[in-house]
Amino acid sequence: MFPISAALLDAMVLSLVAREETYGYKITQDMQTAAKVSESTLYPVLRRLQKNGALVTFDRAYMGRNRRYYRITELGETMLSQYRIDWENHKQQVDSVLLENAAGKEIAQ
Amino acid sequence: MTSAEFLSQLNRELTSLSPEERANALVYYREYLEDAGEDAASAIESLGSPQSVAERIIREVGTGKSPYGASKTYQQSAYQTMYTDENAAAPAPEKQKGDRVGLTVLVMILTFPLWITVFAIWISILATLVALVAALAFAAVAAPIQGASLLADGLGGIGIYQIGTGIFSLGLVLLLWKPCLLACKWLTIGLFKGCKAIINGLLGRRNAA
Repeated sequence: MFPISAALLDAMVLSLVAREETYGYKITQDMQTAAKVSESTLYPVLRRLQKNGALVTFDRAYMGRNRRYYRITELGETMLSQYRIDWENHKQQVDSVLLENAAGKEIAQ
Repeated sequence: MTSAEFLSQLNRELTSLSPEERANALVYYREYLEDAGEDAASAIESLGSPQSVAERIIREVGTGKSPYGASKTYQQSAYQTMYTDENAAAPAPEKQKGDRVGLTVLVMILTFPLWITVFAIWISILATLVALVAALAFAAVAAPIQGASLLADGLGGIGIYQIGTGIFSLGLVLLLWKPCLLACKWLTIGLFKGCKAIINGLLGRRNAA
């Protein structure tokens, strides 16, 4: 219902990779639980974050084949903290209009 | 469509990318489908056609630019600035760079009558402002000298009038030189920014979407 912007998508991907070293298919699956984003959007996002130095990749053997994992860098962590601040501000701005009554009290749900 | 068919079609669709980018995307999607395992068929279905998957990669990776340079919500954040700088530093593909320089030159030639006029207007305004201040400065020096010599010759009235003119000119110079300088500065900056915007607009920058 509420579209995920490109910036928010970057932020969510960074957050998923910050939790654990993970790989493309898993990131896509984990994203699906929170947002209905097209499966084919994830590769360009991952590749761009990698090129920008926010993520690095490394290969690890899995069941007799290779699997490419993503790991967050220091720059990625910095970007993620900034995204979290931006998101918190954004959320509060929306909530102040959407979830508060005339007296500025939060509407019980 | 099987995984193998999907991958070979994707490979064909990605010919416009550099070999490195192409290989990277193929490794990603091969492993993606391997990880999907038994669900590979439904994974292929939800990915969409190899054409659309390839288009997305080319659009967002092939240019080496962020697809949301114009993002309104996040533009102000420190991160966005950092991110934009990162992008600017990333080398653009060689071919595209060449095309772009060629296009810029072509646009400059085709719009010659337009920008030469703009340039002439800019020069005239600058020259007028400089000449105005220079003339007043000259009067501020010359008029009192003439006035003094007229006084020495015994022509008191005209002499005092000339000295007055000199002081008046000096006042005008002191009042006007700074606004004139600022006007020149802003005109020049405005002209450059305008030209840049027009050229970018004509070239239809891809990352503006």
